Amino acid sequence: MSTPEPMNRAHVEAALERAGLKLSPEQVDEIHRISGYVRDYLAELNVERPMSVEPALTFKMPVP
Amino acid sequence: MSQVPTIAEASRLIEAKKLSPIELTDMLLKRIHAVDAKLNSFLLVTEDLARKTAKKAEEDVMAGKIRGPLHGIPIGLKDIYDTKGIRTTAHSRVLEKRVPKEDSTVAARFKKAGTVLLGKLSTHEFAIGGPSFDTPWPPARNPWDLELSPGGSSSGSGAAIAAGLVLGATGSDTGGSIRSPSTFCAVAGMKPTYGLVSRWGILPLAFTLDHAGPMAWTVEDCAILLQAMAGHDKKDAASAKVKIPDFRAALRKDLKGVRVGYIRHWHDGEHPVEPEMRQAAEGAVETMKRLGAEIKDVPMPKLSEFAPAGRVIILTEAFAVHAKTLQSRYNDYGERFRASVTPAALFSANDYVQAMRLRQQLIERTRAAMADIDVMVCAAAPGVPTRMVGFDKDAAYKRPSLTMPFNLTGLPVMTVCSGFTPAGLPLGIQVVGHSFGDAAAMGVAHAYEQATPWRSKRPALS
Repeated sequence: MSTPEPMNRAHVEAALERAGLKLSPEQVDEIHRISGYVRDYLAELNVERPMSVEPALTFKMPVP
Repeated sequence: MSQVPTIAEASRLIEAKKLSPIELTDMLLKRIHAVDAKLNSFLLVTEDLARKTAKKAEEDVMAGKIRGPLHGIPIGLKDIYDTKGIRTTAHSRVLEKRVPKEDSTVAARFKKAGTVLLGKLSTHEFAIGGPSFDTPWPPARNPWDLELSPGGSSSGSGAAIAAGLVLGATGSDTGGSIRSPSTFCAVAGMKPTYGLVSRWGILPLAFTLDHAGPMAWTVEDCAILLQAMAGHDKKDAASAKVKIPDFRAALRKDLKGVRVGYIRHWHDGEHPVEPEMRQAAEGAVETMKRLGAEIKDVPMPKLSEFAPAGRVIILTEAFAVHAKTLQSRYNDYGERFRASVTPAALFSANDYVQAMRLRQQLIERTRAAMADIDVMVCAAAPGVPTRMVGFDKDAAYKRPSLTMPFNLTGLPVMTVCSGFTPAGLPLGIQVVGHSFGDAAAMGVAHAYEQATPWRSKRPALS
């Protein structure tokens, strides 16, 4: 399996900046290189699911 | 004593006053000094404390004041478990000189049980990403082949147990970090049900996936360790209030009437495991059948369905733990930690919630798949250990994990050795129980372990 096409580099740089991270150009290169994997699995995650599906570990009221 | 005993054996001998905790501790300290420069399984050897604790244990035993099966037993703690007055670093420059003021709940429980702490064990940095060569201490190596990784993140625990340097140890498991080193070092490792063992005082990786658990040479030893570790703790928000069973009493000699679900399609489907690992899993199922189990294939959700949820949850939660420190001290983390966690900056809040919604769906589908079986069995890793250097750094993206599904579902998993390749490298299986069916999973794994010869072989370290 080859490395998937990365995300747009400007998008990666903006996300890192928004997260408050200060990376060297080489470190940004590495995150940019693997960003294609990230895009692919976010696409697998963001699919249509019934509106009623709640997140796991939804808060349960403690029984007194 | 020339051979390293199991916890169960040592415990019986100590109780019968035929084995001195001092002599046992001395023997293991001697072994640590002889071989650990090659293995790097310890970050810190607490030699003086160990001798002092062993002496006290011996005095207590001789006075008939034995506390239980762990009294006088030498163990190690993964270096993310806080230990009062003893350096706890997560194998990171970020916490290089950190000395906790309190014991983690597990460390306190082991102290109360009378264990002898031999030291703090190597881990992948903050329990993710290794092996790393740019942290303040070198990474642990695999005692079966020093050029190979022992797995991780509980790398020092697996290596030290296999090499006979400790009789038991703790691990933590957020995506497979007990089960991977257990498999690659041919030891037994238990990831309990989420909530069974307190994580208070253990440095977190990802709150909703983190599990603390025991590792040892045998399932029986894990049962003894888990008995001391398990139980409600109000300091851990996820700690469950459940009745704690007698884990050792649940160990079985046969499997008559046990319904075992084999997750065959995880081995043969879209991401096949290496042939030797698949054959070992199939051999294990055959052995279980001979022991009386009823075997059927179980249709679990695909591994690739678990993968995106697991990745987004583990990385988002880990990023949240480390965000402020990453902002101020990015280069104090090792390269493998940074490369693993930083991609979380690309996620949105929506991505995390979608991952948690998918997780709930997978929990429900897993529960349905297990409706008419007692335990599930599958391979514990896709293949043999990777090399310490030159490994594929993108491997985690390319192949969905065989272990993460049970972090997402919180189910208990006992990992045991399922044989060796012709080259002598360890193979392993996972035995998965229902929620809080930890004792049942251990019972099945013990029966299998007892029916196989794998516990007679130790790595050859001079």
